[in-house]
Amino acid sequence: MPQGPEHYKAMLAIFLPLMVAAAAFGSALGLGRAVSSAMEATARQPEAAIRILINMMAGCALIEALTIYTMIVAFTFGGKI
Amino acid sequence: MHSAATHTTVELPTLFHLLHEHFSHSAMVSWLFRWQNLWFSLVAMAGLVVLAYLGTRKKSLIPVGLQNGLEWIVDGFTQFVCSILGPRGKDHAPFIGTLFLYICVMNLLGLVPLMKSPVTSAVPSPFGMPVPLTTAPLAICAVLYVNLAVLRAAGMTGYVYHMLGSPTHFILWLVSPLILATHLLGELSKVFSLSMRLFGNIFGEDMLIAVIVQQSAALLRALHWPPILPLQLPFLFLGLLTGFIQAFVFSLLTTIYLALMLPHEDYEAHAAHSR
Repeated sequence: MPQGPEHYKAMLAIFLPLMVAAAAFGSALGLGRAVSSAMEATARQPEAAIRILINMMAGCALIEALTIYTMIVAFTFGGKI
Repeated sequence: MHSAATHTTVELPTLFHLLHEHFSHSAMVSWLFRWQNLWFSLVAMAGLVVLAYLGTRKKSLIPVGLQNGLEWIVDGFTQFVCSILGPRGKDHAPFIGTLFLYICVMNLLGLVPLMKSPVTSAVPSPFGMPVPLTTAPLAICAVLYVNLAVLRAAGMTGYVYHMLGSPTHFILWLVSPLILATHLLGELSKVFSLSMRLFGNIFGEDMLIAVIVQQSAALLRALHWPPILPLQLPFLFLGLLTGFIQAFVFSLLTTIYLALMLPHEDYEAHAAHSR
């Protein structure tokens, strides 16, 4: 364990992966809801499937962006370890 | 983020990396290596220009071949933009379509061996978050275009009125400075989210491919095989999908910001258009 002024490295090493994992967990829940409602909508109206797919893709990209922000912070601070 | 000394995963070598290694004493090669993101974005631009030139040489009324393909892309995208913006979308479709095509080609450049996607270039900033060198200007262009389009459509008074929250009641006039601050902060957050979303997705995808390539090279070296197995192939397909989707989401968000901010048409004009 690094002591003294290198303490922050141990803290970063513990909490960075936890942070990314928490963000991945949250976005997995959100994406699961989005995809499941898209599936239900497609089952109700199969002829609108491509339209629903496009809207679902847009929503998923927006939700995924939040996890990507966390990953960027992880890369930024991971470089400081 | 480019500190290769402190990172264990370095980015994959590009053409300019190889040139720089072999001709390290030449100032010209160092200059080429330093601006390699610019050269790759110029490659993307030149590719699109050459494609457009080759497709519009004949200009026949019934298109065949490349002209047909290009017209399909342009018409499909214009229809998509008009489905969100209405008939006035035809004026804004060229800019949004250019954004989409340019970002899509730049993303796909990262999947070609010996090439790098300029979208993944970033410098560390004193704020902690890296500043992406390509997506931040693109996001600033997109948000500036939206604001200037609203300025042109609604005039200066209409634009300021919208920024103040369109107050009709006396109370709304009182809180309008707060709403102005919120709108300005919202524009900044649009720039931030657009640039960070595109940068993070493409950078993560390219970093994933780099890690897989390095791991497969180590594996093949341990097995004493020559490096012939492209084990990163499934991730290249994922990168294809991600690049296309991120370009699409960037242009879709620009269209939605336009649709939110542009002034509403009159009902008679709208009814006349829909007939």
